[in-house]
Amino acid sequence: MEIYINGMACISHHNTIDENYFFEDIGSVPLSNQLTATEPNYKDHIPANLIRRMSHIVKMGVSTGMMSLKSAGIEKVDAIVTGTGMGCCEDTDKFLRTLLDNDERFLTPTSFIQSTHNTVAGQIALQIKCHGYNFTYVHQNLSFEYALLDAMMLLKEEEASTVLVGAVDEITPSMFELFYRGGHIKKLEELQPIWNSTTKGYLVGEGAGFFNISANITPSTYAKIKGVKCIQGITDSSELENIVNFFLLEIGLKKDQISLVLSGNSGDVVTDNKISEFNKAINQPIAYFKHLCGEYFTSSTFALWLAANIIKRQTVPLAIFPNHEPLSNIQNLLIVNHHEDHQYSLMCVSKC
Amino acid sequence: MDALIDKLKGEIIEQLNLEDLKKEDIDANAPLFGEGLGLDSIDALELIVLLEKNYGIKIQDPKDAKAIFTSIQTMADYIKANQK
Repeated sequence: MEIYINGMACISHHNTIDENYFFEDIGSVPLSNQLTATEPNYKDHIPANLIRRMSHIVKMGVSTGMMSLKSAGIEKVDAIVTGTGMGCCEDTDKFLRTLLDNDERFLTPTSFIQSTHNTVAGQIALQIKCHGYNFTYVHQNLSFEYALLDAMMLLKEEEASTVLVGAVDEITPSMFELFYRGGHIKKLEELQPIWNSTTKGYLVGEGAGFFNISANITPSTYAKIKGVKCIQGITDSSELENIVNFFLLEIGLKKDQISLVLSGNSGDVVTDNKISEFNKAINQPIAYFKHLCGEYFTSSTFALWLAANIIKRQTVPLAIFPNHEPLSNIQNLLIVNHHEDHQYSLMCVSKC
Repeated sequence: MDALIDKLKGEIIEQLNLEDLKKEDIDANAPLFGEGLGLDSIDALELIVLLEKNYGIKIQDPKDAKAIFTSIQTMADYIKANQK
């Protein structure tokens, strides 16, 4: 059974909410070490009486989900599956601060209710009155991939015919502070193109990506998902190469049929070591995406959105494809992502 | 009393994230729930906490809550009568 992306939407650091935008104005050197989201007018997507209780991440997730439905030209789905690496940190932060500041008294319900990981999936279900399957995966860097695998299984087992699947993560001031002090985030004076990075640390990001997937092709179809694989750590780049070869075999592709590899290099010279070695070994055109969206646990949603867009538009933005001639006849894209060398994932999307 | 009503309006706007409202938009005698501000049961819990935290007033009998939270005016009356 083929699985098709029939609608999608993405909120990221750049103006990805504009359907016509495709990174024409982006240079190779990032301008900041914190790539916060460019937000839409949420009132266009969420009723005003619901917005007031929603934090930044919930608004991002719900509105992206609604935009994805609009992109697919449908109003309802059979199931909603989401992923998040860190969940609703702003509300959790608020709840815990109130707990501490008030000596465990005067706790208000709203931030507690809204801080659960399933808030986004639940709020979308409430908004579109979807009483079907509703689940959220929280597995750090593989949260979206597991959500996508689950969504694909629902389709393959014919438990659903349309699924809204996506993921969302936010960066809050306290998270930035902690990650920066821990040496995870690049210093401003060390910003370089991520493919030529010589320093430690990444650009931290946030965003949301949602996809309407189905076993049926429609006029709005972007691409088909050939396969998804989660990898819980590797010992060296040759192991990654072997896993990729086996993955391609499983989905019936040869290495030379991959038009482009979207590599999840974060710009951290230490933790990118294995993926950089792999990029050299695979000997296929390589493009990068994390200088556009930043590093966050569910950055794979941005990569999948970008890959499906590249397939549909048959063009690769110069901003992600340094020092290469333009590609033509783009058939298959392989996304190889990782987070700090801990968890790797593979996703392959193809032209319909 | 006017100062207390004005303060309460500001606190309610902030606590309940009524972003689109200004103090002058709120009629002190309008119902808080259903019509008027259109608040709901989660907001009621927020208001109970607001009373306790900002004014040191704990509602002892939950049955009293409906009358206390009828409007901002009734909230102000209750605070004035019970604040120590």
